[in-house]
Amino acid sequence: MEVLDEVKNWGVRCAQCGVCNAFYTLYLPSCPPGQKFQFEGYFASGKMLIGRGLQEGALSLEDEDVLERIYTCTACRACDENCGGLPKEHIVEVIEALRQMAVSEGCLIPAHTLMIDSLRKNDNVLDKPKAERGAWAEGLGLKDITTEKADVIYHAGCMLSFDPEIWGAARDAIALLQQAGVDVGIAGNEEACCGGRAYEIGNLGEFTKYAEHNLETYNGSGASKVIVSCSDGYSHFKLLYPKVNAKMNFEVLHIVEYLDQLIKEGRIKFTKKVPMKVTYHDPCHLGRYNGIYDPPRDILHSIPGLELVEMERSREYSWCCGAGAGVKEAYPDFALWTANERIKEAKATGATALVTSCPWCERNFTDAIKEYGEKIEVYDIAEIARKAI
Amino acid sequence: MELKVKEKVSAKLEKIVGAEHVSTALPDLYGYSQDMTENEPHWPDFVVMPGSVEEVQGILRLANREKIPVVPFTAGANIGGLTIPLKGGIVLDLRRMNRVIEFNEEDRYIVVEPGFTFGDLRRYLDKNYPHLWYSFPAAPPSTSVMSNALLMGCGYLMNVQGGNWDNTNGLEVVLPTGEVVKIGSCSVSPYWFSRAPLPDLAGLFFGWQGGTGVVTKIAVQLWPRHELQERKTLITSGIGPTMNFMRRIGKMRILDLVAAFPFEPSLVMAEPRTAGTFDRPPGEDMFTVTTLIMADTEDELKAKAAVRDVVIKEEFEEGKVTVVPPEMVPVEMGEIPIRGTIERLGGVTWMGTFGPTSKWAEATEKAFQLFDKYRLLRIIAYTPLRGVHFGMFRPIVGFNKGDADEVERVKKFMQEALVMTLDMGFVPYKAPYWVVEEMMRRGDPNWVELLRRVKKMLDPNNIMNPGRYGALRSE
Repeated sequence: MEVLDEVKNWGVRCAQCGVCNAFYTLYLPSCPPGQKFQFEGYFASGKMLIGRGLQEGALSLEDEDVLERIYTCTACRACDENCGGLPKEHIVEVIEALRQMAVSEGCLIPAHTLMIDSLRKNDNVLDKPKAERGAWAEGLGLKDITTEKADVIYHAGCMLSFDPEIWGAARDAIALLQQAGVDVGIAGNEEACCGGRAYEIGNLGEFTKYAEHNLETYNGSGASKVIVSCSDGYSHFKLLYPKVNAKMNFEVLHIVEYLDQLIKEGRIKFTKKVPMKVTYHDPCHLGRYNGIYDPPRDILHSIPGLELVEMERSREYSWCCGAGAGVKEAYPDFALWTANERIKEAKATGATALVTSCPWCERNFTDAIKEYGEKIEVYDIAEIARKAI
Repeated sequence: MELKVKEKVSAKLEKIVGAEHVSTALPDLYGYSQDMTENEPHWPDFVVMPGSVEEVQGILRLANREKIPVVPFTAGANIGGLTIPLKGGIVLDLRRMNRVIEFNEEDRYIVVEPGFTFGDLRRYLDKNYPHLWYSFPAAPPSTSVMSNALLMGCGYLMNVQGGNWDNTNGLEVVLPTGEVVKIGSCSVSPYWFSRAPLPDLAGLFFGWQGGTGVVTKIAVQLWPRHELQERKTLITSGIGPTMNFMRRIGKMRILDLVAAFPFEPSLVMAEPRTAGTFDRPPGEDMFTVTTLIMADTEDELKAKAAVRDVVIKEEFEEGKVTVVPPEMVPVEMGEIPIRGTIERLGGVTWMGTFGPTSKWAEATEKAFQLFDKYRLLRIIAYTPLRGVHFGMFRPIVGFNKGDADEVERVKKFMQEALVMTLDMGFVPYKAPYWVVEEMMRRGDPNWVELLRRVKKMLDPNNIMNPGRYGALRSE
């Protein structure tokens, strides 16, 4: 078994001090698997030690318990945020390396095998027919970038494309862009997964394939911008694609960045009141990964009649929704438990709606509400903003 | 442990606490088999997380019947290998028991369970009782209020208030044989106000490293939080003048905290190190001394500061002391608990001792020689306790656990540091098993015999963290 450098170099650097377990200065739990399962192996420090154990030969990737601890992590980076010992990002890099090692050794989680098979067959991780990918955009009259030029491409992503219950996020985003006069097009059925989930579960080969494909497609389109509503997809474009040896000739913006910009330029005007009390959930890939905290809040603050209240664990101290890095697929009950913890926190603010800016968060919160019965509405930020025009 | 026996015991443990709170999974056992120190790992057979006193009782009764060792655990950050299960058995992870049992604002104490951490306490006080404070240690927020006190830990108020074991009002303990006992005023009164005036049975549990029972509640004292604070950090020259300053200013008890470290760590810790090896260039012995004054009025603050400054002037010759501009002080002393560990190499160990501060200077000379001999960064923590009636002398080592040569040098350093500190009359606290062995070898034979008798009386089957005080690993 080849032990990757990240594991070799950083696995021994964890002092097991436990700071990773809770948000520093809030002293509130930060690690979903640690908080749920409690045993040391589930916390970030436990995973660093797993790396050490694999190096020593004391642990094996063929052990299902080892795999479970490695893969119940949503890679939310709360541990990295808290850790005062290691330079930022190294904990999640070690966890990613452990997953790459697992995949290299053929030690695969069945649910993740299905995701990869789906990618190879249908260019998405949700095992949906490729031919249905563009259905969310029916009736919107959008340009098809495979045959026409558009200045801005909207990349819907797998979750938004195939989940009719949350199509509103994409359709309302488009409506807002169109109101601002943006020349926007989509790839429709020809859109492919960003490949980020494959990376997160340890399959570098599949990720690279999709990254190269998307870079070639969007570079060749002549578009100046690619806009995404999915925080995971956004982060994968921004942070993972540079790892691929290909240039990116377009700017990538999350919809919150672009809407915020358009609002401040006066190209989107909110004229209707939206008398709601809402709280905002910072998606991990938008917040901790990319430092985007203010644009969504500026958008919400600019909506007439809307009251925004913050959860105590917010911004860089946001509790994860539970869906990321293959957890929702492989450990659905745990994913829902994690989401419900967040929903309870949202309800405690007195808000009647939880707003977020990632379809994975939105889907997981919606599923958790169905599972646990809490009474709170869930919206994507574009849906809330659309109400104001 | 044989697999069949293990399965049988596991089933019984699951019946007591629920299957989700018992683990025999190798990645979990591995995590509990070691800590940040150089002490060799030993694997437990089970990790069990009780949620109540009754569950703790059930586990201990089972352990006694089956003769299975039990090691109480909260965060494992004791820097002494104290929760490494030397003889396998059950690691009793108490983090689920994390409640506040009672908060008495008038009489200023809080009764908490083992899993209640310094982070929890800080949050609790900040949110609900911002006028009250605790002697927080320089420890991560994940560590346990109870364990810190039981292991004779200290906090930032130690110069005035003493160690955190001094400031406890009572305990509730599950004895190794399963009975629940209250210690202190709470055994007779509804209030946990003091351990006096009753015979102080708390001594059967403080400092015993979990070897005499499982403490399930502890009452700790709270102190006024003073609005006004002034920190002054000095860089000083010379072992003698620095130690004299610490001892003189400490005796006056106007500083809530006075602590010193050799100066070298300040130089290297700005950037994360990748190796513990450090070859010290020749130069004067210099120290970083941190002082903290707390007050309720500006007049009080000014008065204390004036006295402090007079002592600084009198104890140091011209050019031998520099005041560090506040913006250059790298560690925010106000933010305690602290983030992470003092070093960032993964391995941390120390020969932490208490001893006569009159020997600080001499011990420092010898310790510096040891650090240099083994090519390690000179880190020693000095803090007086209780108006300098005694003090902490704590050589600390950060090291890369992945570097076998470094680990070997650290082990040799620790062996020599033990001999040096014991010869000087210092006594190690949070002592690893091999340090305990040496102390029991050197110690008063009647003291050793009394330790054995107490251990045998309370823990007849030697199930509680065996290999420590009263029942050595070799026995």
